[in-house]
Amino acid sequence: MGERLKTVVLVFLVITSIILTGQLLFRLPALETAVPPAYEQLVFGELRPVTEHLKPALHFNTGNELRMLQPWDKGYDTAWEVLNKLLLLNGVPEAFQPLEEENNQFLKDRDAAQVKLHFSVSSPVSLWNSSFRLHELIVDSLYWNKAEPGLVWLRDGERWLRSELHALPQDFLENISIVFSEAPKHIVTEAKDWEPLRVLPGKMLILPDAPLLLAPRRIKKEELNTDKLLRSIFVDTALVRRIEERDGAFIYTDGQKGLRFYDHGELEYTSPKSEPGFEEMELASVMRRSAQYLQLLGGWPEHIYLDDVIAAEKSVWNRQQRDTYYVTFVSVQEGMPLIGARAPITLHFSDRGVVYYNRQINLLGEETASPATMINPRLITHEVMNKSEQEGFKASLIDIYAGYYLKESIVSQAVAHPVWAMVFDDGRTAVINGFTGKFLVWIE
Amino acid sequence: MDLSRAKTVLIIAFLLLNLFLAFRLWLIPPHLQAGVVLTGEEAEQAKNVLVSAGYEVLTAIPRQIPRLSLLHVSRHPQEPESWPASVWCDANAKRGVDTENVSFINGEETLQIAPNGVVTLHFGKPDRVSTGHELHIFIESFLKERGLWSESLKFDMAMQDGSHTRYRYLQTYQGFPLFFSYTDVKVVDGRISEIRLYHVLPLEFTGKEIQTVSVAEAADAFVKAAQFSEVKKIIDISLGYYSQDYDAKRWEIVPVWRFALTDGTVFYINAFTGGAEL
Repeated sequence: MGERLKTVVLVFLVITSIILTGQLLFRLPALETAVPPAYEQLVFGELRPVTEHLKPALHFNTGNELRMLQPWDKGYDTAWEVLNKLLLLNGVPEAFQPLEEENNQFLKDRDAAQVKLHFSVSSPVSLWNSSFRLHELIVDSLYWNKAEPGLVWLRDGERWLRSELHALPQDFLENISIVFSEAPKHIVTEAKDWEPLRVLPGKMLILPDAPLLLAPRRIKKEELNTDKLLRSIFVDTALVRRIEERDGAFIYTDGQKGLRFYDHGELEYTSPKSEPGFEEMELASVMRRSAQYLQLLGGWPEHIYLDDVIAAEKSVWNRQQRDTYYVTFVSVQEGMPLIGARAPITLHFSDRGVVYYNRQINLLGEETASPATMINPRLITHEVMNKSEQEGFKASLIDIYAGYYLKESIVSQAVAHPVWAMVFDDGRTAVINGFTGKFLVWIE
Repeated sequence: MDLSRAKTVLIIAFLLLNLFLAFRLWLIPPHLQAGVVLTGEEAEQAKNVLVSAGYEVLTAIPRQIPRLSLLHVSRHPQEPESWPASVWCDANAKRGVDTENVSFINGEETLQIAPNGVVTLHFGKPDRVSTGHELHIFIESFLKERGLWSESLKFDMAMQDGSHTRYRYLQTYQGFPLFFSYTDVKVVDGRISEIRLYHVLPLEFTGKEIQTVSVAEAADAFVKAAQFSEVKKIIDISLGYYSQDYDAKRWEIVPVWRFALTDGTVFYINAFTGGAEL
């Protein structure tokens, strides 16, 4: 019996040793046995065409009243459909320099133009007009008057240009009247309305004709699919390490790229190896890339509009930023821009990829009080003047608009209050409580 | 020999064999389960990449290409207030005036604990003298004396900087150096004038093992990353773990190939991606 048991144990041990030896010699490591990772192209929403984000503000002046449509206003798309025919230039525009004694009259005529298109970022006409001869034409404003229906005046940085137009439809003017019939009315103010503040000479300050009725609103942070974003940025997430910072932020990095999610909803992406750029880019390419990057990095929500495009300064001693571009965006919700020290989206990139990306989108929620009439901004000039003098600023006013103010750091359930923003030519903006007229803060 | 005794001997022998195999399979740390190694020829090719880029290689080319995981680490748990007791055996040391750091004073010595976890011990009067080959033994015994030594520390390199030399000891975990976790001993004229240390607490490897890149692949990335380096002498190429400085509670660190040059400059090449750590 004992011998039988020994035999059984011995056989068991021999078999076990064969299995263990086999495992040790031929065991396949986890990676090879794993299913190969399925790399998928992850995107957020549709890719926006360039022409969709380079849209101008539209002004229609009948002489008695001025109506304006911004890209976020109701009826804008129909109006733009009619007015973009003014970009169908016939031939190459020629530069025009009015005589000095005629200059004032010339500018008055332009200001009195019936139709004005104003691009917040100077835009290439070639986006709407395929003529190769207009390839290099970039304009910030366009003026048209029914007295000269076949002509259009363009502003190319500092120069005036005049161009002939392809024949406009016969009912062009009638169509304009129709599409602007529901557009908000505005008034052009005079410099003396803003005293004691100085207004930059030649600058028209436009205000809504009717008092604005706004209510404070709750704000909440945008909720992004962080897992999808991670997989969109890092092809193989197994190579990515996670760092839990003491302030509650999380960093994901593969050593070359870093993605940081802050506790308060902000996200930041950096990839230093994408700078310097190898090639200069035209605005259309910059915008195309912006749209592509946003599609990969969280999407381009409807309420986000292009604010500015700046090419990094080229300097001999700073090669690093060469051929890189900064693109900033503004969020407009409930018809009002959200005003804050930092843009909802900032994108810095080169032809080699994104260098830096910051996203901190806030969403306006329900009203926290009944709507009330906002104070007339012309009544708050003394408050702003006093603040400017206290702090030794001597700049001129260049713009004024209403919006919702976002503080630097928001906590959940925070409230955005209606404000007036007064923009000065030194780059500062005074933010004033829209109901009390009390000065709140300077934004640089 | 009778059959019964033979069976008994065989049973014992196979039992021992099985125990050894089981230990090898399940208990040996994963990093020792080296996947493949570079052949002599491949190692020579890797060296040629460096030599043709103008580098003089003063160290051996490592041949291992192991499968590794990320490593979880956390901040060293020692509270700032407990440092005087471990360094001076004096829990009631005088608190220094320092707005940024927690600091303590004991005679001519000052202890600073920075918010990022770096601990610095300054000696107003540089400590005892030692010279030559005994210096390492002297430093080690000095660190032991001050409660700053741990068996996981291994000497890494000496960096000459002007009039002083900095001796760097690296924290290791399961045989791997943690290149960012160090004890630096500053020696001026054979006297210790400062000790600076930053240590982390290694917790565990993440579950998923990944095949690392060989030093041959890392050499290519190093040559690109170090293209503007003027120093062309490589004194060390080794595999370890690295992390940048984070104000974090817990984080993951990655295996890297480290290329060290004679002037103390180091380049880290991610051993998973083969890209330079930026």
